[in-house]
Amino acid sequence: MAAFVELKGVKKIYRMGEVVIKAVDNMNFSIEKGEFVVIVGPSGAGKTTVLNILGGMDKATEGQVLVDGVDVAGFDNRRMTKYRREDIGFVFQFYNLVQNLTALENVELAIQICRDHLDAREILAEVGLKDRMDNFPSQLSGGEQQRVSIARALAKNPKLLLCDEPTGALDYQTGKAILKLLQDTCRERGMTVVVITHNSALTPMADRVIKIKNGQVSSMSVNENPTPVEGIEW
Amino acid sequence: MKKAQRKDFFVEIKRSLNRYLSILFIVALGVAFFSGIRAAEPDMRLSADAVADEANFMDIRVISTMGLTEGDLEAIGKIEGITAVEGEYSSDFLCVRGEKELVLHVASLSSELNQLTVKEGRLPEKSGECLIDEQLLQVTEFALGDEITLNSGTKDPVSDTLKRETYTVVGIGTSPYYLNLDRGSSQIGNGDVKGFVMVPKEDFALEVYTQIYAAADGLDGFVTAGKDYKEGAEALTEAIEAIAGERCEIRLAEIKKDAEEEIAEGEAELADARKEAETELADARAELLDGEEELSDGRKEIEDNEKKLADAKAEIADGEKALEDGRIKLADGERELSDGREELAANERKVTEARALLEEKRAEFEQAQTALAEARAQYEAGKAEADAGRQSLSEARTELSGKAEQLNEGFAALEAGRKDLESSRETLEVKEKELAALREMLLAAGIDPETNPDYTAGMKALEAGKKELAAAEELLAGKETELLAGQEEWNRADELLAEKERELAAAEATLAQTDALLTEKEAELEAGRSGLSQLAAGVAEGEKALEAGRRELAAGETRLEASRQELLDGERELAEGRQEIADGEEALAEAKETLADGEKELSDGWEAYEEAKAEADEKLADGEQELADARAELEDLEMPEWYVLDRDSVQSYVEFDSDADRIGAIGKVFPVVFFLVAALVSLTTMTRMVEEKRTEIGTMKALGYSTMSIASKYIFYALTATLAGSVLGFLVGEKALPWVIITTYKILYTNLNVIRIPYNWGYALGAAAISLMCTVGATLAACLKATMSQPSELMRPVAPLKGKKIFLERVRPLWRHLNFSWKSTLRNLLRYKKRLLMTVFGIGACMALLIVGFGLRDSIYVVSDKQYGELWRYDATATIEKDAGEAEKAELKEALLSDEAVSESLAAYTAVMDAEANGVTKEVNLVVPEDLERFPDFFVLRDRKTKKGYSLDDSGVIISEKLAKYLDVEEGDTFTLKESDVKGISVRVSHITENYVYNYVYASANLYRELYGKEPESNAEYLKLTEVHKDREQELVARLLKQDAVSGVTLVSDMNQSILDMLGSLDAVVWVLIISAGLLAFVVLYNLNNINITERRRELATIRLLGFYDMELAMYVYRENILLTGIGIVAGVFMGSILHRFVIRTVEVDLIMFGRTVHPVSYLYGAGLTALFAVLVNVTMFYKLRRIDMVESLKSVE
Repeated sequence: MAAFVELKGVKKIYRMGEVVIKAVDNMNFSIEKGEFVVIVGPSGAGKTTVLNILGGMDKATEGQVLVDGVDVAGFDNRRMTKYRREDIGFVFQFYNLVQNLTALENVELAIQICRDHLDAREILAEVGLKDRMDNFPSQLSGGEQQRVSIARALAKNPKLLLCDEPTGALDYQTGKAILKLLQDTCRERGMTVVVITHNSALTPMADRVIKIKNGQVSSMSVNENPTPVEGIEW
Repeated sequence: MKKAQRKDFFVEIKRSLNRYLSILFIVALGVAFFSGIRAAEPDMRLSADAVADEANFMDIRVISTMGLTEGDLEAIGKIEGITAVEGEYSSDFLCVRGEKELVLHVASLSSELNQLTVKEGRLPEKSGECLIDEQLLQVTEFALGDEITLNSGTKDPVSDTLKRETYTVVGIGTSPYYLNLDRGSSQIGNGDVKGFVMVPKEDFALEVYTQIYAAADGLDGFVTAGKDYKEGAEALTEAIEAIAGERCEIRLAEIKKDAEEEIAEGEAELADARKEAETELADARAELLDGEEELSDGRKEIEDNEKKLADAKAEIADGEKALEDGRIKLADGERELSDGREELAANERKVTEARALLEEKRAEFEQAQTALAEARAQYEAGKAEADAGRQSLSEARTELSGKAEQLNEGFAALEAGRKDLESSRETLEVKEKELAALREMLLAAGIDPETNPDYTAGMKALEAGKKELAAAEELLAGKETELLAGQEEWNRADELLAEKERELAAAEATLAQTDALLTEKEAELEAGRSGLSQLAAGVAEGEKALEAGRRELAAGETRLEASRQELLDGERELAEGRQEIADGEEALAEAKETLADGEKELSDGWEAYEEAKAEADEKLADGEQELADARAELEDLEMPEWYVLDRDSVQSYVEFDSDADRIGAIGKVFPVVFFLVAALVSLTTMTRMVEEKRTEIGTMKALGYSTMSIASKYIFYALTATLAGSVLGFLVGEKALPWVIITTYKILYTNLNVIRIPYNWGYALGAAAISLMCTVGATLAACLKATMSQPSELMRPVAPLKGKKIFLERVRPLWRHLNFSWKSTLRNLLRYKKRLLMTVFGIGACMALLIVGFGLRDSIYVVSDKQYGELWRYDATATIEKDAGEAEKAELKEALLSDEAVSESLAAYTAVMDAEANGVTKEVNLVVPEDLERFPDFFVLRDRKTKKGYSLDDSGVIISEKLAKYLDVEEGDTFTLKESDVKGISVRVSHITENYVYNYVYASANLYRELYGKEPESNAEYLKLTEVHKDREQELVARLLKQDAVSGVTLVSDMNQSILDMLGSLDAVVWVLIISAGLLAFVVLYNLNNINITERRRELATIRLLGFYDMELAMYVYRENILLTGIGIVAGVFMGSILHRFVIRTVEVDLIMFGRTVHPVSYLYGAGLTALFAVLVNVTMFYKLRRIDMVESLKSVE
């Protein structure tokens, strides 16, 4: 089975005047379709850069980023935007909901520009917000907001769901519930989910764990029997 | 501030340079406008003052009802504070240039005050030179060296005022007395003074000054319109007025004294005149009597001469008779002579004919002689020939007879031959028969004959005999043929000879005949010769007789010539005699005529004498009357009066003053609006900045910095930006704006050649102070509010503004129809209410400024459009001369009717009057049309708003709108209308009509009659032209001015043009407004957008990350801007129309009413430009939006 996502020799070098910073240096890993992947590493290891490159927000200086067989690294701005709007779902640490729009409208905001999308109401019901659809973000709790955020990402029916510290701003229980939602989504929908976190306690629940250090993959392991979220503690 | 803070401060400025600069520029704009436009008013006054001061313009002028003397001049000069006094002579004159008659104000050149500015040439230096107004060049062509000839325009000669009529232009220049184009009015010509002419003082013949100018030292440096100046001028005025009474008394005494002297002189003159008249009359009488005597002498002489002439005539008659006899005789002689001459001529003809006959005959004779001789010779030759022929003929006959003998011999021989032959043949035949018988015998003997030698010999001899016979036969035949031929030839020759013989016989017969004829002819010829000689003798005789006749004739002619000469002499004598008589008669006739003339002259002389006598008596009586009048006048002489006037009475300065006031009024409104927006925007910007820096403030506070210490960074930020902006605005605005405005006004005030734009600290300081208050105050307030909170609270992210349902959502049907994007846009707008208000206000202000700008033009162009296009339907006005006679007026009517260019004309009575009501007096033009029915064709009277037409009737007058406003009267009210000094008459207002230029009162003729009790005598003709063609118009004007009755023609198109020209200067103001509105819109929108984007950076980054294309992202923001711009424009329409109305009322001139409404197109322009500015800002924003980093969305909330 060919890798669904594959990074080959990816480098990202920032030049700030004289200083050259290698945020990502020759990174290689691959992810299978439908896997729940956790990318873990300390601050400054290059997690976010990987996320940026994978999410089409930034371009790799060197190397290939193959997503479903297509090299994303070579995209121009317009194709990059198209990639973001059609292939990628984002879940942010701080939810990034538009305060001015209701939960439903936030989902609609994402799907109105997307061709192959799911029904906003259904997806909101699925993430457990059936009764909160017409509430504004400020009327929702953090967990609920993150659910809206996940619903917004899922509604686009993306190939890849990228989650940046999805539990970072949530308390323990809520965080767990969100992780469960993500894991369930992965299992039930066969969605490829990539969670980026500095919390290595989350690694047991992943199908695949990629550890990053100093811009390189320090280790990659595949969990044959991932632990359900309920079994994890941190 | 600590070092770290200082560094932080500079880094802050560098990082938010956009914001810093936008505050700086907003403040700069605000201050520039506020101080610049406000400074324009004082700067205008300063500039006008500079013009006045530089030219040493008078401060005070004194005019007297009776002129001013040298004594007055000295007295005024002695007043304290007066530094210079100068008297001026002046008067108005007419000058004809090309087709134009110009009214010129001629004044004496001053030496010190009111210095002229020479633009070309030089000042006049000696008598006969002049300097002309530069403005005259606008009216017609003038060049240095031109001569201008003045005429007084009244009955008085120029010499009453000026020593000479013709002046040479040596200079062209301007006078500080006139700032603008207006040169005042005059009582002569068409009343419109076109310009001044300055001539040397000594060219004036006036005894007293027209006015005295004075300048005071203490007033220099004060602005003319200023309070200090006015107080100073008033003090001076009072000082001069104080001496006025005394001076006036002196002047009166002088005048009285002069008058008394004059009266005394007059009396003496009168006495002299009387004496002189009497003497002259006596002389005349004596002369007339002498004349009568002379006349009677003449008459006698004529009678004598007549008698003499009759005698001479009788003598002539006798002479004529004698002459007639002589003439008859002469005619007889001539007839005789001509008969003789005829006879002679006949004889001559006969002789000539005879001679010719003789010649002819002689020639004939000679010819015949010759012919005869020739014939004879021919005959002789012929005879000789015939003789020769006879001889040869006889010879031939002899020869022929010989030949005949020969032939006969031949024939005989032939016959003999033939007989021989016959005998030989018979022998032969016998021999043959013998042979044949031998043969038979032999045969019968059976011997072969052939073998028989006999037989063969016989045979052979036979054969030979036969052959011999044939040959002889042949020879004989030949001889026979020969003989026959010879026979024939002989026959032929015989025939020929016989012919010849016949011919010869004929010829001989002819010859014989000829000979007989010839002999006859020779006899005839002889007879001819004797006849010829007889003829010759006859001719000679005739010639002799002819010669004798000729001589006789010549003698007759000589005789006749003599008698003819005699006759001619007689005739000449007679003619001379007759001429003498004719001369005599002529002389006589002349003498008679002279006599008649003399008689007539004499009677005329008597008549003249009587007349002169009567006249002299009358004149003397008049003189006496005049003297009596003068004496009476002297008794009545009133005290002269002085008018002491300062610069406020100089019209162009007063006008400039009110224009400055108007700019001042604009300066009070515009900059305030502008400034308000600028202040509000910078305030929002600073507040927003402080709010953005919450976390930083919290951190600083947590670190233990004091409130002031924290706030100082923001305060410095605001302070430096505002101060820098103020200084920039002040430096640029206070120079540029007044300059633009004053330069614009220079179009009207052409003499305003100095522009003074000093920096005016007051306005700038005020503006800067208010700006500082706004920005720094706002910053301080925001900082205080921020630092009030606990640091922990500050460091926590600010609770984002809660989304909530907006009222629109409650309008379900509407909300449901809005698409998603608009829903979010509407919610966003209402979420940031402050921004919404600021943007709407900013855009509204921009729109309002544009509307005022365009509206100003609209309102002004309305004057030309409506007044000259819609309300006044006529094209020209012809003013009728005051003292024009009926005949002249009738001629004008006729000319108007027949003129091709004039399609219709309306006569009317017009007058300038004063209208008074509620304590206000306004000068008005009264128009009383002759024909009420056609009046609406020329003047449209209607309500401005409803366009409802009014018709003029006898119930009351119709007055113009602005007049109604000034007088504060409404329909149905009454006001007082007075004509000069006549007591006012109360009239009722029936309607108020739309009108933009001047004040008008329209009244019907009946109403006028009723009110004033007199006939409104037409003194103007309103004309409509068939072809409104510029060239044709001017032609018509020229044609009309030739009419005696016409004193002036005004073209509506000229008036329209002058309005358009004048108003064209306002375009610059409009441009200033448009540009400033654009700047305002740009700065405001840019700034607010900047805030908007910064505030929502995270939201926008998220949306971007969600996969919005650049354009979609931009639209997410633009939708709000579009909506705001739309709302702003709508708000601007209201703000603009209110502002426009206010501005129009403030800038309006007294005599002109500007349109009150803004043209719909101007709203469109305004909206279009505003939208354009908005689009520009949004385009700029696009790049900023594109630079939003998506990674931003991942960051934690600050």
